Amino acid sequence: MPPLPLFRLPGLVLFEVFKSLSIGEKINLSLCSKKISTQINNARLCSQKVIVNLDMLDHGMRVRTENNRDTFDIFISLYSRRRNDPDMQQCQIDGHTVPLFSFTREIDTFWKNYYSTSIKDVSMQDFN
Amino acid sequence: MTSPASSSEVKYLIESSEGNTFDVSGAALRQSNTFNAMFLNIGADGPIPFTDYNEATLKKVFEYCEHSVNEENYSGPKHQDDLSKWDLNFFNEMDQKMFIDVINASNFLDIERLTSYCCERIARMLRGKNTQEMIKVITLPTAEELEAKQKVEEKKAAAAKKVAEKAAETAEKTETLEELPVQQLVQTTRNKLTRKYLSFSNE
Repeated sequence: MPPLPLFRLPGLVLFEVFKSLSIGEKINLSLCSKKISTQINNARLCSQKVIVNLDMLDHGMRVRTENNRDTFDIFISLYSRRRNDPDMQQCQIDGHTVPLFSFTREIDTFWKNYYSTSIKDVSMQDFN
Repeated sequence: MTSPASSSEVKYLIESSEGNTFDVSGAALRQSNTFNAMFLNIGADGPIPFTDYNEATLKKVFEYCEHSVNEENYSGPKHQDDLSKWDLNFFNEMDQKMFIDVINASNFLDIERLTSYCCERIARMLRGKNTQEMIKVITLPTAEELEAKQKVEEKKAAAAKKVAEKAAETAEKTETLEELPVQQLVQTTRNKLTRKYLSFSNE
């Protein structure tokens, strides 16, 4: 099947689709484009209560549901630690171009200015 | 042609964007909340125009409705794994253009069951994928397309503003035109009365 033109779908249908995706799928989808990220934010998925655990030791965070059934990890690394890999993507996060590896259950991000940018704020936007 | 009393047996005529008409049973049509809100209680006098959608799309949507007439009442979205063989065939034989048209028509007609299955099908395309794989599955508008869309929207907004301004101007002109004769009439009557009063007082 050819690629699906997501934005030709009615808004209500899009919202229903977003609702049925897991935390990780929503984060991964929001990294596809700024417009999708905005749409996911507009869907106001407030009904989905999530818990964010910050892991200072491993420089990462875990976003999870209350019952722990749905979890997604975000790892924050220094830009200098990035490695040349064809699978590495460049994504726009909060106005910054961030190299990252995206997986179904986690993303590894590499930040140029490690301390001044907070990925926590960025990912929290997805959950309002 | 239609009577609200026996809507399950009666056939309704549906008109598509091509101007073609075809029959749909009342029972199938009642699955559409839009139809229920618009026509169920009052009945339809002539073909019901769903002219935003082509015949093939409408026929596909109502084919689904006809099939699910005898199924138990809809009780919220089901997982795609719960779909019957017929349902799966129904979705599999559609190409992508038809699939999108069906979603749009189903959304407009507010057919909960069909819309929910379509949503589930799209969600399934995205499930278990990382960002790169998702980008391959969906088409994202390019910067040029977004710019062109924005330009069209700006043009539309400018045109709408012009129309509104013109309408306001015309309304103002009409008001002044309507006011003039009344004012003239009042003045003439006042003059006449004054003259009459003066002649009366002179006498």
